[in-house]
Amino acid sequence: MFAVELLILVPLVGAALCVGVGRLSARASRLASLGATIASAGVLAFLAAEGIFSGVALEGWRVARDTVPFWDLRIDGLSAPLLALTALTGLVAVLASWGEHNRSSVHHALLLGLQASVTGVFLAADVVLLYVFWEAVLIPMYFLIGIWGHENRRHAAMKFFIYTFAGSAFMLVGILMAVFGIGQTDISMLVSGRTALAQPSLVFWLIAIGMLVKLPAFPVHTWLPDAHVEAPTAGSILLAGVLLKMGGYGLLRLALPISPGSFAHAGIVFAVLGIVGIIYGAALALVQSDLKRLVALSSVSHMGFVLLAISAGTERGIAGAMLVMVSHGLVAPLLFLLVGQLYVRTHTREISRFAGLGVVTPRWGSALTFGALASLGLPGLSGFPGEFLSVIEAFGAWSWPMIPAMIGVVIAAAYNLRAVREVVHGPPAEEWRALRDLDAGDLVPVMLLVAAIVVLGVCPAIVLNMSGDAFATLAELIAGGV
Amino acid sequence: MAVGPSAFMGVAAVLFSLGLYGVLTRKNAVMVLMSLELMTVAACLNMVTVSRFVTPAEMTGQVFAVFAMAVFAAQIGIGLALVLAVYRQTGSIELSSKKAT
Amino acid sequence: MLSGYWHFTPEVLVVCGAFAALFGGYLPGKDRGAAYAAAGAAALAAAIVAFGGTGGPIVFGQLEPDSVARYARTGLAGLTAVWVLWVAGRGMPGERRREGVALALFATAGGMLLSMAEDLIVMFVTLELATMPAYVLMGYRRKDVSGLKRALDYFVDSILASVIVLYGLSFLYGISGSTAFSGLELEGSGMLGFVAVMLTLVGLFAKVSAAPLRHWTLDANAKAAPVSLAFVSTVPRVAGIVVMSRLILAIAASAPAIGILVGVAAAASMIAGNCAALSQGDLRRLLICSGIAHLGYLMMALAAGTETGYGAAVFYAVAYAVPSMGVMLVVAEEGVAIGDFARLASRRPWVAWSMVLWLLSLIGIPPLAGFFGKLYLIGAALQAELMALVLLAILATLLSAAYYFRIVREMFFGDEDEQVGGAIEPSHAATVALALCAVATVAIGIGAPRLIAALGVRFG
Repeated sequence: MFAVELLILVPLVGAALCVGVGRLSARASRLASLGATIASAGVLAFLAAEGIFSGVALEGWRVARDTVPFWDLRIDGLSAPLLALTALTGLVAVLASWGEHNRSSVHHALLLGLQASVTGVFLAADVVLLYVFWEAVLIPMYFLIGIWGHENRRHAAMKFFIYTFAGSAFMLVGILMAVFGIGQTDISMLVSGRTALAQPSLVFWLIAIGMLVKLPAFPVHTWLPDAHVEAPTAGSILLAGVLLKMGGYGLLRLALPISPGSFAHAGIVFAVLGIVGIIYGAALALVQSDLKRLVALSSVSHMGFVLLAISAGTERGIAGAMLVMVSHGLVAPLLFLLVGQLYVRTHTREISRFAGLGVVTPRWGSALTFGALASLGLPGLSGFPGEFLSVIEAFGAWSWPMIPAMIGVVIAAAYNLRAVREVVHGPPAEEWRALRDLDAGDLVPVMLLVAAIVVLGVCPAIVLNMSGDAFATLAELIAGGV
Repeated sequence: MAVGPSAFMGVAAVLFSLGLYGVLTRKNAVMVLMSLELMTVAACLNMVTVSRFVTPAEMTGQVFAVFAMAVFAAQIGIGLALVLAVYRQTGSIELSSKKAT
Repeated sequence: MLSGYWHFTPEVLVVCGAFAALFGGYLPGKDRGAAYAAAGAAALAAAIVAFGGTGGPIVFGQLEPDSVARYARTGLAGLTAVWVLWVAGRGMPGERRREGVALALFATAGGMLLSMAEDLIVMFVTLELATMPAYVLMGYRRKDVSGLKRALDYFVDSILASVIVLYGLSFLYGISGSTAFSGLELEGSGMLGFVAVMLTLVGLFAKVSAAPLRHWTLDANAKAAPVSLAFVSTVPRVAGIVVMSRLILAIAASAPAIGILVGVAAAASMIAGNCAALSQGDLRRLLICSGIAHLGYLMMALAAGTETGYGAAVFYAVAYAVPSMGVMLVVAEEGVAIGDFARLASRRPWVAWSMVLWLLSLIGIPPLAGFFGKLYLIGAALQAELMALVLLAILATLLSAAYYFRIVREMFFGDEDEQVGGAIEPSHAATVALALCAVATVAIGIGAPRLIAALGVRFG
């Protein structure tokens, strides 16, 4: 059905429109990009009526393979929640860069281009198409960091590009080995024909390397803090909100189904990498003096939970991984948005320079407190169900060695509360007496995210319903081995 | 005693080696061009030999040799033109890539 | 036998264009008119090849306008049309442009014939026709002493390569007793066969500037005018690559060991080209070095010695040449130092974004031409289980991203205070030429699966 295509085409057309009307006025191009993100959210809402959010799988418009080769789109339980997340964070990113004055039409066009490519990754049912979108994501992000980033942006942009490009290069070899070994490019055909693979574990690890870099998992995570710190706010929002999710999605969509047998040895590796990531990210976040770097490192920690949850290999474990991903896709953008709004007003992110902002800017202060609570996994907010599930399931699979993951949860509480205590509480610093609080325009994206966090926290079943049988199928594949 | 193909090809190999030596050691451009010509002749001799001994019924080798010679005449024409252009500008016909010894 | 001469219509058109350019003094608009006429002829030739049919062997089986030749000839004529159009807009540096245009068209005619060659004699003659005008183009600036000297060096080394090829061909002919590609038979030829293949391949590698004999191209080309280089490093090279691929495929049938030779050269080219490109500040040198690396990727597929590898290599030859022509033409406009590109994005945004497009294609980012090119190359190598070469190619690609992105970085995030160059006067012809390159880079990428199928490549 053609509406599936529209999810990619609408942002693309919007991007072209942005550049086109950018010559008239910056305001026109902002409105065009806002219109495009709202329209794509509208398309998604229309698809919701078709039932994609209740576990129904939906094929894209069928085109003949020889007119548009490799073009094959599909929405299923695995991609539906992430598509919703992409639509929401895309909208938030556009709102967050409303005040961008430096070449704003190109900025908005790149944001929309990024949204289109990420959507493409989640929609692609063909492995070549998936790779095409996967790589296409790099380009707008590179320019977003490189042109609109902060002081050290060139270095960060290059580091981001080289790391993720290196990862996806290995992934490409893995994909090609699978494609030529099986003789299909359709992902579901690859999965059903996987027994033809000569070296399934090699294929698995080649693909998994690309995903682990993107996620990012422990030893290859170092690009993330730099990219986040230097990226403009909208860039950080999309990076944390959806780009990182591509890693987890890829593992669940591609690596594990093509070679479920590899899970026998990959599971323990994922568990170890996950735990190290949780502890390491949290410990580093605890000692940061830069507020944005703190949020960035907390992402490393949260993504550790995704790996840990996947390592359990059970249906509930995979559901937990998806919940953590979606929740992190809401919480991290909220925190980046707030830090960005603070930076615009003060031009600093040093935690030690702030105090008592709760008094000076009560709306900002309460939003940050809310974000921190969501990030540390307070029950009732979105962070809790996913992390709870992942720890429980990992404990079920690996028993006592999972104790360190609990420590990670404790450190998460420590660094989040420390940030809130130093920045929001205490007597207000003289320097920021006259600080402006959030106005209505700033509050719109904040409230969007806050609402989503509460809804997901109260009712995680939303995501679980969306995913339908996808998790069960995956868990069966893994349990079946080979 | 009959002279076999190997004798002709041996001569060709010697000519080729002489030419190669000249190209690699001389720095006078005209000498280098002459050495190149020598190598061409070696290749042509090879072809004619093959034509005579391997495919005596056909003239393929001779035709090949004629074409090669024609092409090389044109090549050397361009070469001499370049040498002349360099000579007009610098007054020397030494190849710059080879250090003076 | 003598039917099928209509297949030569495009070549005849190109030669007519060359003559029109030579005698351009009589055309309206003189030089410029001549160049437009020539560009039109080349473009028309490309269109005729592209939409004309293919056929079996013609002229006693010495030429074969098959689907591979059709693809290569379209690419060659199209690239020439773009180049001539650019020259029509901007001229050749310091000299009259019409001789340059005529020479380029002669080389193109040679290259188009070369890509149909099915016979050693035809191959040799057309190879020389395709490369000979390059010597003159390289030394086109008559007053530029160091350029001329380099051109002479380039000439000598290139002729040396030709002679070595010729000597090798004489052995190939001697062993198989036939000059037709289909009649090449090296089975059981022992040492002599090895010498023959070695000489031929080393000479051909040098002709298309692959490792190990690539150093001179670098030295000689690095002083040439960028506009000459834009032509010399694309059109004759593509033709050379096509025929080299054909010959390797023909030989591989009876001497599979050739794969090892080609594979070693491929690895050497990837390593040497990329490592050398990393440290270059002169964009001409950077592009030449990276060109060597690209040839390495291409030969990786040839090392497979299969039809698939052959088709993939020919596909990549054009898929690489189009963006590299675009980049080189912009270098000809902006300057050869990497610093000349500082803040190009704010001075000429469309050109800067086109550059990004070409550089991304050279790196191999989807969905551009270079990505699908590399995809098929790697696929062909994987089918032949050349895992080591594939991994090397991946690492080399990563390395190449580093130096290509230096240019992107300079264009977009360069120092603002650095004042470079004056405004470049607008030229519609040159703009159209660049736009064509950009469109072709995307179009080859999007159309890659169909093109590759037309080249007879089957995967899976």
